[in-house]
Amino acid sequence: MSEKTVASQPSSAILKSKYEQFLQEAASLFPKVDQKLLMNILQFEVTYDDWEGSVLLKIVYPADKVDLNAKKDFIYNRYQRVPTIEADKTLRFKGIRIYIEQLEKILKEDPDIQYITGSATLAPSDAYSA
Amino acid sequence: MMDRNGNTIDDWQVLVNKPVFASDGKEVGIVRSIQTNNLIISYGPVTPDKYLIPKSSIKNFTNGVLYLNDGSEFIENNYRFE
Repeated sequence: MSEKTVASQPSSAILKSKYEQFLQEAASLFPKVDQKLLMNILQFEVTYDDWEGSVLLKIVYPADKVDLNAKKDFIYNRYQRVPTIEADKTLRFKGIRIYIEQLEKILKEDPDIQYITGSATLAPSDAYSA
Repeated sequence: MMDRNGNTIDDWQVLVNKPVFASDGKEVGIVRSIQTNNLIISYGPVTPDKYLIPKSSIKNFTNGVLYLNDGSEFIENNYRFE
């Protein structure tokens, strides 16, 4: 796009277009992560330097294709949290210091993961709250 | 983007809030969000069951309703994650 074209566009259109590009890039970089969760983590991380990375994570595995108890042990060893198993394919736990670098690392280390969702919270909260 | 029958889904976002039915005619739920490879479907008002449905499972999208290639039992056993 030439500078002249960009200059002639309204600021709102430019902003929308750049935002759409950003969302598309986020989806292509983190295809296995719930985009709403990703955006929430990113927002908290960038806006608040002292955000503790409090995130309720739900890690989904393909049904009947992985040993969920082994995955549970892995989570415990790494985060000192005991995840619960939901619907025979999802591990759920509340972690801290879950930043996007951490999500990237989890996905890289465990290719069995099918999908990651959950919710990020701004205020510190206890380990087992939703 | 096409489903298995060659029908084009130009904009995946049009599927959000649309009802989803399994191949045996049972209702699976409502499309809640679109992810890169999957659709998130939820069913139920208070603590809804959630399903991670691969886009490859879509049969077609007709008259505002999304139809899947898989039966309700298969979906329950393989795609429900919450």
